[in-house]
Amino acid sequence: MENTIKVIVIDREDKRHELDAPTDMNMNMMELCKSYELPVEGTCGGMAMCASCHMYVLSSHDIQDRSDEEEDMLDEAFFV
Amino acid sequence: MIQTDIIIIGAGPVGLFTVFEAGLLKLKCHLIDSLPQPGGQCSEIYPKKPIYDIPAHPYILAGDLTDNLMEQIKPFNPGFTLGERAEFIVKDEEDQFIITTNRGEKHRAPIIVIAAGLGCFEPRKPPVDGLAKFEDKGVEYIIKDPELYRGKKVVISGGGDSALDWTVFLADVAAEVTLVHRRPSFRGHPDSVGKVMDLAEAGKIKLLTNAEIVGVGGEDQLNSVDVKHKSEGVSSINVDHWVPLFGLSPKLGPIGNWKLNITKNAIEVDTFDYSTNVPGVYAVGDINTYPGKLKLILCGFHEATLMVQSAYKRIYPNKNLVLKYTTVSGAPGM
Repeated sequence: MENTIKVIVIDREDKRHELDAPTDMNMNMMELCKSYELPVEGTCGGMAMCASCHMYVLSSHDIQDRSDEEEDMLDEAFFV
Repeated sequence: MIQTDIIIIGAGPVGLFTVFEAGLLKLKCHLIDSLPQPGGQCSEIYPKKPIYDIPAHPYILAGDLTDNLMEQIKPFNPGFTLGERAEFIVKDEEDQFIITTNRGEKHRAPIIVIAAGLGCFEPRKPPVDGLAKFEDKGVEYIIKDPELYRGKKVVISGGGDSALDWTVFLADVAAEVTLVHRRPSFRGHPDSVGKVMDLAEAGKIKLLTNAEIVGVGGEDQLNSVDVKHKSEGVSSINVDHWVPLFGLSPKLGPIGNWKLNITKNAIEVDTFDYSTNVPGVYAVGDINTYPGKLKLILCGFHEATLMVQSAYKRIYPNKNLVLKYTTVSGAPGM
C-alpha cells in the first residue's frame, strides 16, 4: 500500500504488534494504536491533558522533539 | 430523602442537557456528580479549550458551554448533589430506585439516567508500596480542611497549579512545607511558580526538584517519606502529612457493580431509547456503547432527547405523548 509505513509496537506484555500506519491521515501514534484496538488509554483523546499514553521510541529514526505539553504530561506519568 | 422524576448520574454537558429535554415534558430532575461543580470534563479538565463541533457554535470554550447549559436548564430548577459519588442502587416495593451516595445521601426516582462520561474522577495515586495503609492517616489526595495541617510538617508533590497553590497557601498554616517535584521546572501558572520560588528563597518553604517520593513510613500514622533525588540517592524526611497532587483520572467506579451489561468500561444500550438491560435505567453520552457509537457531546445530546421520550412513557404509560416544538410552545423562562 502506498502512503503507509510499518510500525512495530511492543506492548506491556512484551507482545509484538505490526501495524500499517497511514501517513496521509494526520494520525499520531496514540490514535494509530487505538485504531488497532491496542489497550492504550489515551483518556483525554489526544489533548495532552491526562498522561495516560506514552511510549519509548526504540528505533533510531529522526523524530521531532517533545513539545512543552508532552513534557508536562511526562512529569505526571509515573515510572517514566 | 430527595424524591424526583429522574435521577441523573453525572452533571457533565449531556447530563445537564437531559434536564432541558426532560423539563420540556415537565419531568423533574436531580443530578449527582462527584465533582464539586457541574460541567464534568468541560469544567474540570479543559474549561479553556475551544470546541468546534457543537452545532450552531463555530467555536465555544468548554467552560462557556457549561455556563450556557446551566442557563438553559435554570428555568427547570434541577436539584444538584455535588461532591458525592453515587454508590448503591436498590429498587423499592413501589418500583422506584433509591440511589445512595458515598455520604449516605438518598435519592428516589422511577427513572435513572447514567450520564457519567468516562467515569468518576478520582485522584491519581502514585505507585508507592504501602501507600494505601496511610490513606486518611497522613496521606490525603484532596485538601478539604486546611486547618488539618496547622502546625504540622507537610510534604506536597506535584508540578501543576494545584501543588503550587496549596504550597503557597499552607506556607502560612503548616509548621513546615516541602514541595517535591520530578522535574527541574513547574508547569503551572507563571504567577504561582513565581510565588513558590519567592517563598523558597525566603526560606519559608523547602523546594525539592528532580526528586520524587518513593516510600512511606510510620506505625498507625504516617511519619516519614523517602525522597529519591535524581543524582543523590534516597533520603528520608519526617513528615506528618503527604499530599500527592497528580491530577484526576476517571474510573468506572461503583456503576461497575450495578448489574449492567458493560463492555470496555461502557454500558451497553438499545439505540431505540438508550435503555440498559435494567428496566428504568438509561445511559447516555460517553458512558454508553452501541454499534457505531461516537463519543461526542453532540451525540449525547441526541441520545438524551430520545431517551426522555421513553422515560416519560415509563412514568405515564396511559398518557399519549405528542412532540411539541419549542417554536410553538416556547421554553420556560424564554
